[in-house]
Amino acid sequence: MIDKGHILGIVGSPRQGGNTDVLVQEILAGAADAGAQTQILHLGGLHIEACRACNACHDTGRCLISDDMASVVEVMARSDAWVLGTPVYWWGPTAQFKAFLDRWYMFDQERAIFRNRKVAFAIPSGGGSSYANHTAGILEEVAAYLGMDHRGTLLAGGAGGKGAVQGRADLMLQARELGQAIVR
Amino acid sequence: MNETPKVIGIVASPRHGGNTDLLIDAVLAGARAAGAASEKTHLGDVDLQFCLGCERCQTTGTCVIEDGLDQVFGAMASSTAWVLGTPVYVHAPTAQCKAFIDRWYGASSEPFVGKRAGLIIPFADSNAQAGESSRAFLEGVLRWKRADHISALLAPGVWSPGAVQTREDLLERAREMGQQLVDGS
Repeated sequence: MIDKGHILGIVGSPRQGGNTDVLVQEILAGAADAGAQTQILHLGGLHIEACRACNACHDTGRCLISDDMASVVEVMARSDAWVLGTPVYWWGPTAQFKAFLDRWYMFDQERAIFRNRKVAFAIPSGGGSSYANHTAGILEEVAAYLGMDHRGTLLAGGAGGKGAVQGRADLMLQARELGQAIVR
Repeated sequence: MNETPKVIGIVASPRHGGNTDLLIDAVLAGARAAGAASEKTHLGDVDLQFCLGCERCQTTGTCVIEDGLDQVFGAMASSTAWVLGTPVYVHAPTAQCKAFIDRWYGASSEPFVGKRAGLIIPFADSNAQAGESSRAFLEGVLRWKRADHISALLAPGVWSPGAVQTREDLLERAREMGQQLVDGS
């Protein structure tokens, strides 16, 4: 059997079963259709602290904070692609997701973990998709800066109620197709 | 009777004595020179949990999380003006700053409506454009919360902790912001 790789989904919403969770799961289902192994992590269920800007990581190569980030990094390192999802809170990613993102500083000197790593983003928002511009901008700039292989961003505007996106066949199809595209 | 105006500094950098902290100090010094009292809070020292997305605040008007947020809101509500400072981390305000703002979702109007508000945004990149998206984001949030006289100071090109100490131009603009937060000019 051909190895189609391991795809990691990370849900940056505090909610389980919300729109971010649904979309990341659908993208992973698309990846599974294409033959990949998949795994999902919910930041809301993990303990990930904000970066303290102590710079120990750059001086010693290790982050001083003992929390769940180390185990997330371990899974990130052995995954071929990352599917990163965050809802839009106040035009930006959630604080949970931003805490996760700020901790990427620990890799800054050796960017090997990012280079050519496949990545896709899922960004639902209660209002129209224009509310997601700042969030998508941050994530796409970061992906480009770190030399990642950005396979697509799924914006899901107007996904108001919890899990409402399940009723949006168009978005669910886009999610499924993005999951297939990330395996190729 | 004229009460003494009060300006609150809110530091959303995890560092004490870093550039955000020093620029907030300069804002507060400017405010004191204009006759105000001042207070400063480091969000990194406050127990501030992430919004749970439970929506309870939208029906009950209160947040289910009991932590240090009320203390910060209380200081803001009692102020004439406040200034929020965050460095740019990964193209955006810090997680500490975002944790604070996410919790504004169910907040009452007292800490925000009609308060003069300042923003301090230092970052390493010497190109001021690198701070624009953070500024636009924060100004948008402050307008939404109906803060008044919103002003922002971008401080590009400051990387090492405390580097801004040799940037008298930026310190002077921060002091001017402090005066304006008191005068409303």
